[in-house]
Amino acid sequence: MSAIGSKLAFALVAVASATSSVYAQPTVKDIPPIERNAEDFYHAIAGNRPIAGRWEAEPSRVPLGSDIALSLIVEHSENPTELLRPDLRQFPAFTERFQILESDVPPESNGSAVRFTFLLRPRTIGEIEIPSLKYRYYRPAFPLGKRMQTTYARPIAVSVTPPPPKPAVPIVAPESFFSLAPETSTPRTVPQNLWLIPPVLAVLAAIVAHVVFRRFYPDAARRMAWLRNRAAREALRALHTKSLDETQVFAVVHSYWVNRWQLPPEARTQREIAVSLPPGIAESAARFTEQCDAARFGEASDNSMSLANVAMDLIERWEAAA
Amino acid sequence: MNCAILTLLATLPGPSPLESARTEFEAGIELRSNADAARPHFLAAARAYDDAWETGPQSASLARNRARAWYLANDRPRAIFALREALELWSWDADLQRELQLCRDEVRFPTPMLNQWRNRVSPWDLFVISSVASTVFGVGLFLRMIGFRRRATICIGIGAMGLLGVGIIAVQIQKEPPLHPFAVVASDTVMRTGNATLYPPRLPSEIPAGTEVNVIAERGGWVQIECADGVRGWVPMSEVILKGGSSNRP
Repeated sequence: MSAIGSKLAFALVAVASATSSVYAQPTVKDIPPIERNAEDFYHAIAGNRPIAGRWEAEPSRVPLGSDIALSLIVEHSENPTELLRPDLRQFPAFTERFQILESDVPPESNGSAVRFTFLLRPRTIGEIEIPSLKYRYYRPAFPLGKRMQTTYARPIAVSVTPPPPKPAVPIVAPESFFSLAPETSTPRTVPQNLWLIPPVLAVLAAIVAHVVFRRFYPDAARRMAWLRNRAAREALRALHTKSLDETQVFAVVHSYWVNRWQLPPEARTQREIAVSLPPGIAESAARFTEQCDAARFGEASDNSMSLANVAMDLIERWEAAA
Repeated sequence: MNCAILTLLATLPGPSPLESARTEFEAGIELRSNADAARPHFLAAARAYDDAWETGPQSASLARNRARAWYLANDRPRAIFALREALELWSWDADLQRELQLCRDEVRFPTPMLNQWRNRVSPWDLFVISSVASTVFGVGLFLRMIGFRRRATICIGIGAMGLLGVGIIAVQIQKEPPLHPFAVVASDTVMRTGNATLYPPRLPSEIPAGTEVNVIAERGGWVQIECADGVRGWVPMSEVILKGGSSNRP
């Protein structure tokens, strides 16, 4: 009994080992190089069933400028981990219609099906066809010479709509830039040494003014007379325009005597004034001083207004007599 | 008949560059809340202002409008270029300087300083100060000649001090280094050690658009430039806006 059992067990092990050797998973290394390097061959090896490839686009309707996730699904592969990802950039049919973007989505394997994902950006608006993809695979069960088979991922259509209108974005800039600068006439160029002209002109003008002045006042005596007359003018203007009290009226007239008749500034009493001024005006000047003193110390009724009038009258008489 | 009318219309003078620039600028302002709609108008205005600048009488206000149009057309390097071109003529113009500073705000690179005497004092300023000082000086001279010694001394002193100040400033301006021909970098670009792409970059990063540089030399479609911090290198001529250059006009 035990001998029969051990024979059966041996037979089962032998069958199992034979089966495993027949169904060992094929790899790309088993394919002869001339077939392995064939065009459109992405290392897919088929078993009993042929390889099938198809496209899936998500979403199938996009606005222009958006991206489509395009998947290539390869089914019934015996070596799903060895499959190569097709490079869509090599196919003008794709690059003419889509911008092929870099995609970092790894291949997803689900049993014998593998999904490769590509990121495409349509170039135009409308119904756009995703072209078919020629997909060659190796089928070791077939006789020699017929092992390279071909399938196609059939074309599918995606719809590309016009892009949605962008939201209006205002221009960001300093507010002053949103208006036109007022037109002004700016001289094209300005000489850098323009500043040298005024000093030269000023010196020339001073010389010319001096020459003119000397023409009207040819000697020093007349120049001094002009200066003295100016003292009279200033005194009359002060007495005429300002409301002065008695003390101020006397001060104005005293200043006139000093500037006009060379009265020593310290001469302020009636006697000193009478002595220091020329004889023609000494008497009337002394009388005026007396009037001022009387008004200042309350001995007379002359107010400052009448004193000013008296002073103006005296100055005009003195000037006329000079 | 129709031909005659068309011929007559063709011979009528069109709007001047300034008029069309103004019209486009105002149209752009109307649409300022929508940048995409407004920018073409500002671009057209900027080009018309460029024509007016090249053909017509130049003024600081024209330069400011030209720069504003370029800025609003989203071309900041050209706005900076327009203002720099105007500052070559009116270096003391405070409005031009202020607008240049506004345009420079987003350029993260050393920019030339505007702190020289020629940027502060105009020849007109010197002329006005000199005129006032000279008048006081002249009056003093005249008073001295006719015998008013005390007042003459005061006037001559004040006038002479004013003229001395003007003279010192004028000499300072004369002593300042002359202005180099300048250029503005139109787009971010690599500055190289030589005039070809085989030379290594001079700086680790690109020179940003809007950078103002001095032009040292030109050779074989490349320009040797000097940045405000003194670094020198070469950039392609197509990457900079040069005075009188039309190849890089958008």
